[in-house]
Amino acid sequence: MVTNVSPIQTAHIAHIALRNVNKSYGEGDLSNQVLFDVSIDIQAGHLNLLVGPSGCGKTTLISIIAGILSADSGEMTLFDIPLHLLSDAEKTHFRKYNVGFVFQQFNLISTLSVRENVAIPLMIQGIKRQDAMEKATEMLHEVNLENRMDLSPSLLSVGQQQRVAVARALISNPRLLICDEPTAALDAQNGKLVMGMIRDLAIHPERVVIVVTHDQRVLDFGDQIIDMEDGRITRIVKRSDFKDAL
Amino acid sequence: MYLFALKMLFGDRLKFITLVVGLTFSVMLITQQTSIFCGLMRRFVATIRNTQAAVWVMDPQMRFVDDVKPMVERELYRVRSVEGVEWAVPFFQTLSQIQLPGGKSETISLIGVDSESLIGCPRKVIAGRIEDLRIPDTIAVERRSLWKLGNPRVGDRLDINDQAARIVAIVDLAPNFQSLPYVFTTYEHALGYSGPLRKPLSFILTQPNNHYTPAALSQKIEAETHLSAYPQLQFMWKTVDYYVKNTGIPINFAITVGLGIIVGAAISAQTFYAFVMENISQFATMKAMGASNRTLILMILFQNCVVGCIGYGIGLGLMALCGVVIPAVTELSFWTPWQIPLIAYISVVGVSLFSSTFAIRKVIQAEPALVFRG
Repeated sequence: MVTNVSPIQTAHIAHIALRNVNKSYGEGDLSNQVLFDVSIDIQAGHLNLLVGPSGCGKTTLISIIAGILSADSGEMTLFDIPLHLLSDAEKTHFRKYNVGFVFQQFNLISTLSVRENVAIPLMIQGIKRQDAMEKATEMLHEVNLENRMDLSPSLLSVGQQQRVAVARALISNPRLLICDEPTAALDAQNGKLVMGMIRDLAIHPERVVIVVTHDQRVLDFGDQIIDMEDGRITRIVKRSDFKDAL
Repeated sequence: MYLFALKMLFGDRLKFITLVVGLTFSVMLITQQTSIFCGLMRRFVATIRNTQAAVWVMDPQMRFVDDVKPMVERELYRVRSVEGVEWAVPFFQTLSQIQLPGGKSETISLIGVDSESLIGCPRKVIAGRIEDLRIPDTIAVERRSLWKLGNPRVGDRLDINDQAARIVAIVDLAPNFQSLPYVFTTYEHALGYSGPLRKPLSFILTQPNNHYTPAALSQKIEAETHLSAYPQLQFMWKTVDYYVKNTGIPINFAITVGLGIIVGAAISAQTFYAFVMENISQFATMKAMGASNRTLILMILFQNCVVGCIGYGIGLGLMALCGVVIPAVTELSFWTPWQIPLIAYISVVGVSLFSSTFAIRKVIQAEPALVFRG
């Protein structure tokens, strides 16, 4: 199975297609189904917001889309690759070259410098340290943190830390960017700054961007809102329909 | 990634220091105790090492070098008659009392060597002339034990069994296990000091001619005389073997070394596990980003390897320091053959692999989806 789809270079239409995806945790009487026949198409080039109440299955869904969790049943195609048919090792290989993450708690390594944190995805890909660090410097310039690149992340404000996380997620030019509550730990100003950054830097005709959020303040940044409830997608709202829907 | 692994390791200074201290302690305990054990074993064979004879001939009942079973003198002539013997000389060894000025006495290990060749005498003479042992009522004493004999000088007189013993030489040689002063004289004088004995001969020291190896000559002597004969090294091992099998000494040391390994393993395993558990979300993040289990395992092994090397180096350094300082200020024996650092290295590798096992297992089990759980 070829999973080494190179970062954004090709011209074909990138998208995600999920068909009848189900997922349960636990077994037997303790089994708890969290996704029910989820089917959805997500096009590249847009900022997709995945919203819904706590426990509705958002995190499970993005974990499956990102290839870090396996569905119990159903089919899922990412950029023409049938993810549901890949082994764990193949999924790991796929993520290495195609998926970027922004986490709620940033997940930066405090013992590494800001620049080293940003360089990690490239180092995982096996790129030489010097080249990775040069690229990280460029990315930090993009998020206006080039003057903080040799500091420990713990010395940055939370807003700056999330910007570092955005730079880290985008450094490998992934075809899929998953952001899990990127503004949950930020105040309104920093939340908008980070969302603006994601919008400006991440949106690309061949990149799928999915942002999980509870934050009503950032809904304006989305091109499409995917609403989930009780493990099901209840509606998909386009930007043009926001005013009517919200 | 290895540099990042290092930075993660050094970043948690307390755990890093705990890991290094645990392994240092373990290495030091292993190497220091085994060095003391080897030093003791060397003292058990000090008489053999000091004498430097190619083949030792003795009574078949003899179990180790200090277990002297005297032989009659005619055995010396029988050995000399064996084909392949270049020369054979008598060697006398017994415990005796030496009277010191002021009325005190000291137990000594009295050695009598062939008066003609002086074979069996130490080669390193600090003061006086070893050849003067051929003069009646003369002895040579060893440098290390001079203080036990009242710090006599060449020319001073002591008494052995009420007979005059004038010091003509001071020699340097390896000390024995009991730390008894070695006193050398000729075979005939030694018999004079000890009194008439029906079986005076402790050992026969022999040298093979050019046609025989020590091992071949030993076999030939045993076949023709029904005495026991051993090449020097084999006799040393026979003596060591006796002490290993018949005393609690090796068990005592083995327990200490075992504790060193167990304590080192426990400290490093527990600390390294805690280190990995504290960083488990970071490992999971790297997994989510596409780092394979192999990459993470190699990072963990590298971290453990670095800690192991540092702990090993410091532990070995401290052991070397002990090796210099302890024998200089105490009577403790200390000898570190090259096998000891190797054994310690293998132990450290074992301890490191053991402590890595739990951490690696945890990292392999860590789901990358953990990154979304806050």
